[in-house]
Amino acid sequence: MVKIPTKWLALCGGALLTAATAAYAQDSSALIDVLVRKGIITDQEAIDIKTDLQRDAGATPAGKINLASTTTEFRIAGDIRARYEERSGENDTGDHQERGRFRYRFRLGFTGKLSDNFFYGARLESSTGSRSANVTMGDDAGPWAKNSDALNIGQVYVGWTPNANWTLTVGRMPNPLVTTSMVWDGDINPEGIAEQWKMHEGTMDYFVNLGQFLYGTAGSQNVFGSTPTNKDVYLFAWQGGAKIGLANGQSIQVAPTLYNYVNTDQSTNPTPFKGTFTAANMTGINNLFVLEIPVEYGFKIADTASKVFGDFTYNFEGKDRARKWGRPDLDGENIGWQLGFQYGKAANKGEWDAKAFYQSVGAFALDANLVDSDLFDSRTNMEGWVVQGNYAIGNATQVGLTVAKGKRKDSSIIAPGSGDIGTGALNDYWLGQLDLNVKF
Amino acid sequence: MKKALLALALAGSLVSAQAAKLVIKGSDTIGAKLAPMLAEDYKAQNPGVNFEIAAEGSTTGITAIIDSTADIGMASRPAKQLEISAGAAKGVSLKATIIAYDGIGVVVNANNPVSTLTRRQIEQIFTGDITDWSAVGGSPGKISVYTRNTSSGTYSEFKELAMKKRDYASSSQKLAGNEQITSEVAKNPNGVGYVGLAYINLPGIKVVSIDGASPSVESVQQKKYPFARPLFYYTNGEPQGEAAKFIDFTLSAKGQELVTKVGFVPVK
Repeated sequence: MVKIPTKWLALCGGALLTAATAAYAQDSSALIDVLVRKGIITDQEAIDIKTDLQRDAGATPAGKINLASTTTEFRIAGDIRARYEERSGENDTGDHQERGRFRYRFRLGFTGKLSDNFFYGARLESSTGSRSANVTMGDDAGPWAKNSDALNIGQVYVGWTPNANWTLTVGRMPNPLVTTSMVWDGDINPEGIAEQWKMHEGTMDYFVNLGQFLYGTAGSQNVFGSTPTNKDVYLFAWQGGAKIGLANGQSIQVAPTLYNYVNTDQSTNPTPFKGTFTAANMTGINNLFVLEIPVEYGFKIADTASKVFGDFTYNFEGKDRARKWGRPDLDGENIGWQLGFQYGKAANKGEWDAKAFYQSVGAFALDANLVDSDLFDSRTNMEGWVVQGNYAIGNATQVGLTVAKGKRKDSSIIAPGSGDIGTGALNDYWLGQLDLNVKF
Repeated sequence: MKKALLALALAGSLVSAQAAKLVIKGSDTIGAKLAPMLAEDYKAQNPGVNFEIAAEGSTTGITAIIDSTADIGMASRPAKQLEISAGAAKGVSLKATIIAYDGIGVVVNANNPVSTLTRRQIEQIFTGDITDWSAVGGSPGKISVYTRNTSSGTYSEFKELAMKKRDYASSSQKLAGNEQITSEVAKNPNGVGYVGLAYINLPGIKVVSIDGASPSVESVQQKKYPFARPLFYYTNGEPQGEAAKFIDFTLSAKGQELVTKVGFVPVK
């Protein structure tokens, strides 16, 4: 056996370690310790090498960041999206409204893990909208003024994972529920408390997601004088589901969910939700007790991940909601459904995906304050097609195209909601969006 | 002319006399006993040299080198990356010299029946996961955790070596030095703390073994004791002048003899 002189080994080891990038300074410590234990280098040589590596690491921007010792992991991530959008609609008189606009969206998130299994997250987002972080370019008091360009807190939450099964979160959080754009706009970050449980057994993944979301505060619950006592309005969500793994990369996921709104009739603040219907407004959240069943069947087409997906909703109080609106004859409009197909996923450079689905939502089926704000103009009582496609021109960059075409499902009543096309009597809605999305 | 030369010579001797003052700051582990003993012996051999020694924790020693307010910084932990960066920003190149080894001994009251603990139990006790001695085989009683203060190198090193970098229990009491910890543990039947090898044989306390290994010169030398660490002198670059001479003395046979005498483990 050829024996290599210790000095040469030490030299080679030292040279290798010194050549390592600053980012690996911390990781190299374990390797240096091994070299010491094996007697290849001395403790003094080890501390000299470590000091040199740390000095190099300290010269990098990352080396100058000082995180709290309680932080075990810290991540910064975000995205910027530039969009051109056209949307148009026709009202009952045959008149048209069209809107074309350039928009941007900026989101910057910070997430961290702490000792004792706690975690936190915060995300800054452009726009003040509840269902959108888009800012319309040129939409300011003067040319390129910054009135609409402020950053707001889109997410801020803390959580605890006491074990591998449970996650508890409180704050303004990413939506913890498995759902679709038919029921929840993807930009909504509900505020409140969520409890999540999951378990893996064989080919089965079971999960339970519970949410107690504070929909609207009553301000003071009891005030001086004879003003009636108020209560905060809550949206409770109870979801239980499972994902079953099948042969050849196939899977089925079902996640039935019940939504219940509490104290809707007692709140005087915020007024839009206290159940006051008018001929042109159905945003009140009274008489909503909704079952949602999102389903997804995943499979592969020539090694490309694909899926058939769908969602079904049923408002158990739809009949009362229709009656309160003044159209008891429309008590069947308490159902929503969506069915679609997706091929591929544009995750890495050169990959693409395509998705198409059909959706039909009755006027009394869902909370119009939560549904997607783009695809059917933030409204229920709409039905139509959506076609989407994305192409990853880089690992962090995507271009995307979305086209939606819909119409009022029952033209004898309004399409409830507050969209960009300014009429509840919305016919022949059309949406086109071209996106450039950069993730960092 | 002669008078002028004489005056110059006098002035030169005065300057050299002032330059012979060594300022040493930092670790209490090194500075409480070892550094003064080394200084006494060094002075005996070099009568013109004066010492100023301040033992207020490793952080103060490394900071003193970065701020150029000491010739030697004593540390019982290696410099952190931010300290090295801070030094580099001021043109100071921190250079560590290992002068001895130490084992951090976990000490309990002499009357405590517990005499051995696992590394996991040590972590749980000092982080507050375990709060009663009965949980580790002792007599029931609320555990009183004593730690060094945050400027101490031992404080950081113990977190690194024994606690997976977790935070100390919020109920832990921070004390200034090894002797204060031994004193409190000796008085408190439910006390637990940690001290350097030089302090484990004081009256009223006893050292517990960790996973069967006890701190000793042999176990530290053979790298068998899990909570062992080097002790450092820090200088700005390679040591120069009187500081270099003093470091050479510390590493000499005579200096290492004192290292052993104090209770630490010699480098060679």
